[in-house]
Amino acid sequence: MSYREKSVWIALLLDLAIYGYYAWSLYEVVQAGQTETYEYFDRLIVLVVILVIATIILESIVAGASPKESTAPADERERLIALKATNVAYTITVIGALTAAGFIADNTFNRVPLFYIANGLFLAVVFAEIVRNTIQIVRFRRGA
Amino acid sequence: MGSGDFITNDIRKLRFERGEMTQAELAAKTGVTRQTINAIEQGKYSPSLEVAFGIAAALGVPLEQVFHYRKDGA
Repeated sequence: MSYREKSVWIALLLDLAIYGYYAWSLYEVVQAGQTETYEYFDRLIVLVVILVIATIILESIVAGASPKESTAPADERERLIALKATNVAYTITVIGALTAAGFIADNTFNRVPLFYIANGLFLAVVFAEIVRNTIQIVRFRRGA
Repeated sequence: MGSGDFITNDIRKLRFERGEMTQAELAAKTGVTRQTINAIEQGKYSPSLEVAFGIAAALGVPLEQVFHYRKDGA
């Protein structure tokens, strides 16, 4: 497995673990009817900091195991795989952003609480990132 | 064309004719990863002209001895 594939695996697994936990906590908040009082932004900041620290630690370990590969630029096949995956992720992000904008522009802002719009938009971005990493792994496994 | 379905290559044969050169050695000479050489060798990825010429140069043969283009149905 190449260094870049390992990096993508790290990103995917951390995204699933950290944001999966966040999504689960949101679900519990919604179930408890506490969306008005829940300090989701504070929780999110803490989780993002944990994600960044965990990424740095794991990336350092993987880079230490293959120092030559980790400092070399991505080759053309790796760049192509990243580009194709990013194209799909971009579409998902745009759909999420336009949906959120639609809720706001349609003057339903007061009817749809900010909690849902903000987290819906954020989770669309996270979903796009998970799809991007998944596509890359599938393509790395298939060869192209 | 575009999927690379009709481009074949003799990289594996040429590697072994050159002292059993490994994929990693060819990758290092060409400036790509071993995984990319493996994908090219198996016909899963069609390289750019730059990489194709690089592989041919690393193997010490002209490009047409490494890669072969076959038209659909030919």
